[in-house]
Amino acid sequence: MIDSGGLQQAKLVLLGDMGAGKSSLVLRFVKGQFFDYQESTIGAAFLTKTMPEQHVKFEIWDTAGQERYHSLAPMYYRGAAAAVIVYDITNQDSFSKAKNWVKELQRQGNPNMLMALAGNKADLADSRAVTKEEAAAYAEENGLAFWETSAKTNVSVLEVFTDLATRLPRPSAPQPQQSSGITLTEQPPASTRKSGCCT
Amino acid sequence: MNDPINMAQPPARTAFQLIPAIEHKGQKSVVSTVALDSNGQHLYVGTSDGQFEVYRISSSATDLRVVLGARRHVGKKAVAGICHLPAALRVAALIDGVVMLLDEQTLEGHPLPGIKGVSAMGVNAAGEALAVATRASKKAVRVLLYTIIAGSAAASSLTATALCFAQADIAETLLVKSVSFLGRRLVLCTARRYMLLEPKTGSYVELFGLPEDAPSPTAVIPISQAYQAMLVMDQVGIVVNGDGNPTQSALTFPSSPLCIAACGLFILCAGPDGVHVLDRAGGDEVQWMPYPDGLHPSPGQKIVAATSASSNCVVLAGFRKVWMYRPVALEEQARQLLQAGQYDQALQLANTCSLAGAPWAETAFAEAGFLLLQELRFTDAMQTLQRCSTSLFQPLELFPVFPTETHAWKGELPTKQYWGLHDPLTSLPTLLKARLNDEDAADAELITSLQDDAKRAVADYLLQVRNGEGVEAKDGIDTLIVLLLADLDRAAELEHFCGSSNSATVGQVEGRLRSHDRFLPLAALYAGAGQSSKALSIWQGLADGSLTESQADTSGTGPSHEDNRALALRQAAALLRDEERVETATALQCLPWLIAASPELALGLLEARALPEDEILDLLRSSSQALLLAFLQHLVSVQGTGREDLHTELALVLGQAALDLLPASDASSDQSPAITSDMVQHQGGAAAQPDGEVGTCSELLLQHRSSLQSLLETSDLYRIGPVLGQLRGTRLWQEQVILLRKVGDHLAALRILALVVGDMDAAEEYCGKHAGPDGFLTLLDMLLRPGDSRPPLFVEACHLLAAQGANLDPMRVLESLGEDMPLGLAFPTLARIQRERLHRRRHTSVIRSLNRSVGLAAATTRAEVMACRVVASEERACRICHSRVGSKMFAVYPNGVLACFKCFRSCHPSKCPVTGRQFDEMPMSSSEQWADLQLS
Ligand SMILES: Nc1nc2c(ncn2[C@@H]2O[C@H](COP(=O)(O)OP(=O)(O)OP(=O)(O)O)[C@@H](O)[C@H]2O)c(=O)[nH]1
Ligand SMILES: [Mg+2]
Repeated sequence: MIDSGGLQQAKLVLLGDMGAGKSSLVLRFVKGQFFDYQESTIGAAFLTKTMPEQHVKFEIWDTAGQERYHSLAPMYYRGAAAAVIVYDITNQDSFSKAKNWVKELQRQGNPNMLMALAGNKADLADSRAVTKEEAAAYAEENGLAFWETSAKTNVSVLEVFTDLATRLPRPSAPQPQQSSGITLTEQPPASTRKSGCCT
Repeated sequence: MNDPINMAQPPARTAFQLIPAIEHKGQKSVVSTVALDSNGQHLYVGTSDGQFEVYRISSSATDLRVVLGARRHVGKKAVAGICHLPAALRVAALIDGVVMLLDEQTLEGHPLPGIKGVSAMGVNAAGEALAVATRASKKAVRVLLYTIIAGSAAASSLTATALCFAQADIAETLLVKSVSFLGRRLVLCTARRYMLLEPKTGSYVELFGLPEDAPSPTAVIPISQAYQAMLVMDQVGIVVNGDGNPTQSALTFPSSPLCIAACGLFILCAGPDGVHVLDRAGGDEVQWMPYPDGLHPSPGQKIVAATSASSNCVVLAGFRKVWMYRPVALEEQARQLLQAGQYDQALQLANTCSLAGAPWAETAFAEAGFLLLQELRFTDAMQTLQRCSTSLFQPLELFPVFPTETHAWKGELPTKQYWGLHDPLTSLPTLLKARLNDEDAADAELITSLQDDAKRAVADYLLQVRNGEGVEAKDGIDTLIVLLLADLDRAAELEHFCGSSNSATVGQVEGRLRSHDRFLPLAALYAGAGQSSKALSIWQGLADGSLTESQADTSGTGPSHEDNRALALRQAAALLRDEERVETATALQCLPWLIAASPELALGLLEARALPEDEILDLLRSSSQALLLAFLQHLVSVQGTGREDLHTELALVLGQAALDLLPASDASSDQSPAITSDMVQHQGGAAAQPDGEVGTCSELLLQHRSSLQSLLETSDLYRIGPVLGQLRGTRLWQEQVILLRKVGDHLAALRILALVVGDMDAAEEYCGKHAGPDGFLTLLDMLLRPGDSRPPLFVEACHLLAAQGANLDPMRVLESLGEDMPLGLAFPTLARIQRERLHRRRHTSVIRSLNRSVGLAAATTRAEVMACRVVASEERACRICHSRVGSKMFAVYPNGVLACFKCFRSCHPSKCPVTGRQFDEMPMSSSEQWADLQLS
């Protein structure tokens, strides 16, 4: 959507395992801050950041990685123009979680959604558990932009967002109420129909 | 929220006041649900044994009374929910799966017909539509929407009509626990998920699922005034809009909630430890209220809550006690927060309310500004004051902080109260003394830095607001700005401010600016105030070094003295140019020092503004030859003056300047032509000299000479005599040639060109242009007999002949050649003259023969034409009028077309009337046949 200032507003969502560094990346990007002790996100946090050069205003949803809040995620990635999937390069498990997120987005997300894969905590290369090659190959296969980032030492953080901002599809004309929200399904799912079946 | 830094402040605000409402007396039953009517005047209580009660709430400023209005038994089970339907004067009670529609006063009523097993119900914001969730089948739930209409007067007042206007089934095996309107849509909640339903079409979508062990309550909390709803999961509240999209960061409750209510800008969350009040937008906790006696929930106990639609009341009920939470007016909250020094919260609240148009918000900003100022948080204070409009707060209200500087405006200070939270403003030193402890107050460094902070903040603020609409005492404000900037050594800003349009009173700032050595701004102020001579005298002082501008500058190293001097000069010159602001007399007065300080600027001034010429010239004659020259040039070539004396003077001054620049060493040497011509022709040679000064010197010489030459050539106004007198005998030969030519002394001119300068090309050109054929002979004669016992210049003479010989009379050439001309040298020329004569004769004879042949051809044509005959018979007709020619006179065109003489006369004689051929353009050739006549 285009607002009066000529800025394109774009919904962006961060997904990934708990502790991967989603909040840290956002905080670094939006406020230039980093905290060694960053509280685990509850629910989701909302921040905005304007990138004047790209004429983009990102509306950023920093989701909670805790498994308990997994079910909230669709609310946040629904209608998103871009997603950053974050894993922790020192944690193999977080990489598999990231792959699961990619799968979920491919299945249920907006098909035009731009995706970037961020291998965070690149400053901890000594305890690396996921090789760069492996992640890059995976990203390549799935059409994701790939970066190894460090929110702590501010490596490639801005690049992730700038790259997404520049690749955002530009609406040529203000589109009539582009459905960023929910389209309520016309019919109730067919589950009631099965009742007659003998199993 | 998730920002670990800003969580420090403990909630110390009273957003809600706790007031006991009623105590349930029944021995065997407990309160099962509560509700409020839309404007908070009636309290409905349902109990576990099916009792339904209505209480009237009457409140005054000081106390609140709750009086039982009616009580009725509506069923045997617990009342599970109550909805007030103001539009229908009804209240709906959910009991044992049945919805009872009761009169809001008497509680008389009947069940909603035809529907059982209702698990949840909700009412829309207008209080007219009721949504009811029930079970349709084992695998589906059904949601029905009713409009409830009050019974007509004729019918019993007990009956109400309920019209079902929408119905939707949803595949869901669990019971709907909570239904809430979200605009035209509904949000439903089961133990497993939240759903958004469009009742009109029956379409729905899952908003999100809940973990199986999600603790109670999972509920939808309507925030109807914002068209939002909050969905609760664990300790998290997710606020969504009518599209089901989240609108803000999730709210996190301090402890797991037992029940939640939304009221105004706040969310009340009753947890095991008391009631927490959260700011809905920001998520911060603003108040915490422990439970009063009797309300403290025992483990596992339910707490129920309700909010009035107008958000003026929340009720909370335990088993027996019902308490009311009355919101404190936001204005009052802001006041309290300010009083408690909770500025951030106060400002946040004022911000929110200002956006919503609350008129008191500005007062809160002003009050906060004063308080922050007195807390020595100067920058914050000024930022806050910027939020106030001038109709409430005027910048001059800050003047008491700087009483000395603003003494002149003391009488204009308004007296305002605002909320009366701050003390009257005192001077900055007094303010500091009052706020600092003894130790700090003795710390001179700290004091200075705080004073600077204050001045910086106030100066920035004033600079921001000074041009705002309705700002009073602009002169005072600008004066204070100047003084503060000077104190702060913000040199560049000070200069810029003083140099742009402002209302500062110079008299009030002069002393301070002088004591700070800020002369440039002072001069700018004087200039701006129309006191040009004062400004000029300051600039003069800076230029001649009797005044020195301070170099202190906050932005690092300021401009050097030299920069400041140059700036002063530039500014002075700029002002002097302004004819409206500086009188001629003043300009003339300043001119001598400007000339002395900067000739370029002086010249710029002379060129830019009209000043009495003669006075200027007198001044320049005695002060600067270079300027005199430049000014004369300006008068003559730019202004095109017609004054002969000025043209003459310019020529003389230019001549003198050029003579002064001629290399001295050569002056005494002989006037060898080689040297002099060198000087003029080899312009590049000068620059090639190693000594740069000599280079520019000769460049300047060339420049002067070319100016002089062009003046001498083009102007007819100068008097030749004096100029020639000045130049005669000097080595400015070209100039002399021009002058001699002008007086008609070609001989002298040619003599210079041919014999002194030796520039034969120029001499020949001169002859061609100015002296005519006689000139050439004169020149030839001069070359052959140069006199001064110089040998004849035969080579040059021959060259002249070679170029011009053809045009000269050979006899006169031969005469002037004389006997001593060596034949060998003269031969080529004479031979050429001879050849040329022969050629001329042959050429003439060829032309004669050609003319003859043309005559012959003409005679042939005539003979051919004479031989043409026409046979005219009886039948022949005129080709134009087609009448028989017969014996009439006729004419034949060269192409044979025949016409009667009458027609021929009326047509063009040389144009064929039939074919249109123009015979004078396209004559007939002999090969063409006559078309319609036979040659006999
Ligand atoms: N060394 C290092 N530590 C990081 C980096 N990014 C984040 N961290 C740390 O990792 C921890 C978790 O970071 P968060 O930003 O809270 O992670 P998250 O993905 O938001 O986690 P949830 O909110 O629980 O989903 C914090 O202690 C951070 O300080 C990084 O680039 N390098
Ligand atoms: Mg986080």
